Amino acid sequence: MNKQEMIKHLSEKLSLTQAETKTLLEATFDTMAELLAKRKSFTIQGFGTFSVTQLEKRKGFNPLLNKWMMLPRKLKPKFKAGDSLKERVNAK
Amino acid sequence: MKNEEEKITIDEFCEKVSKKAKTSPEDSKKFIHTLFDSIGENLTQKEKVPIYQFGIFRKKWASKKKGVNPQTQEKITIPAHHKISFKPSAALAAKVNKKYRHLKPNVLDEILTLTHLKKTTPEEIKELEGSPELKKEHGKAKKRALITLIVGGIILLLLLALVIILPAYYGNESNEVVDFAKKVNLMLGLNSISEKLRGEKFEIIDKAKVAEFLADFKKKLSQDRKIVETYSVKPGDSIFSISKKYWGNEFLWPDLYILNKDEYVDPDLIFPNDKIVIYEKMGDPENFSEKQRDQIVQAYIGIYRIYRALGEADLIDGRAKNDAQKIKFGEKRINDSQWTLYTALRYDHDLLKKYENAIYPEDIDLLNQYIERFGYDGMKNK
Repeated sequence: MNKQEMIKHLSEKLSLTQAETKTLLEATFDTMAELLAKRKSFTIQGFGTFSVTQLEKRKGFNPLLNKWMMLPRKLKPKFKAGDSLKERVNAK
Repeated sequence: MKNEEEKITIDEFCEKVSKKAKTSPEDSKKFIHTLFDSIGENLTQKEKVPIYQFGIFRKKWASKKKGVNPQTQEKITIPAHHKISFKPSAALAAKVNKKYRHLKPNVLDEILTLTHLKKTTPEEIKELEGSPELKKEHGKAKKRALITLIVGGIILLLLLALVIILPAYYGNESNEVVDFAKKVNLMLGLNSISEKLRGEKFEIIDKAKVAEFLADFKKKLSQDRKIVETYSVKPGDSIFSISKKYWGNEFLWPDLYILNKDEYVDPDLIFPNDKIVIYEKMGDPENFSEKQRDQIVQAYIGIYRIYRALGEADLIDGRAKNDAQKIKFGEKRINDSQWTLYTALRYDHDLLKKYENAIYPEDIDLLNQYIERFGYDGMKNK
């Protein structure tokens, strides 16, 4: 399912125009990125929790350059699936 | 370092979204729930649900395995099930790491890496610190370092003195060839000549200096020459082909390039409808005068250095999107630079000796090998 298909599907389900759906969709993911950048975590009922962890600076091997590198500190977005999503995926 | 993270409620989240999309909070709440519901729905049917510019939700099969309940120490079997993972896309990672974007990975010193790799246990460290032999060796090493420092300082002073005194003796004898080599080196910096090509330091091209050099050289080349025509570049043209068209010889292209390109740096780039000014031909390549030969060779060497510097800039970052591209682009440029130099050999067989100071030592070695195998006119036979 690509972005366009998703917009179409959601607009039919919510009886919104495709343009409205698109702005809402983009606003949602933009807001999520902004919140994660501020290290805020949030739970979406029935889906899961989005959070961020900070990776401290560490050594890593770059196989292309064939060299050991000092990788800088960075934030890593994380997702933990909620129980209801797990059940839904595993139900058969 | 702060490692705590704040939780926000779904209502706050919805409020933020509604502010951004200019809708009511109820609408956005409804939307968000429907959105994630449909993502979950998709996940039950498909292996992965990619979301453009955000990330990929993926379903992974985990077969059954034995485990222990950590609270009761009871042995249990975990049934086979689907795990759900999320991989953030590069765009999301970049957005989240906006405040860390100035931090870049650095290549570690090899010696440093080796010592870091070997893990020394606390007991080993104690042993090492306590042993008298090691202390003695530390003392010796300190002495050695001091002596090296003093000797180095003296040598440096001597060298400085030489640099100051020598020009006073030989300053009057400077000829055009030496001047040119100096200029080219000033243009692109000669610091890295003794350093190895890849993995160590590079010189980065300074566009202002190159432009200055080209403008200066253009003045010299355009002296006493008439303008024949102004040519408008057509799709498919190159400096090479235009040189052949008007002067009947493609190997005069550096002359044409320098007469026209005093602003750009990249020798490979000309665009349709660019105006190329065609001057009189410099002379018959078979019967060049000494001055003409010097000029064309110097034009070639100028371009060789520009290619070379562009190649090294590409190896650092330049136009490339990833590391593999960096090496591909950079090596092509450096290869181009070597061929440029080889072409110039047809005009002056002694070029490598004459302009020794403006050419990288490894390129001199390579070109000497080419000359042994293909002679001075190898390009003609190809």
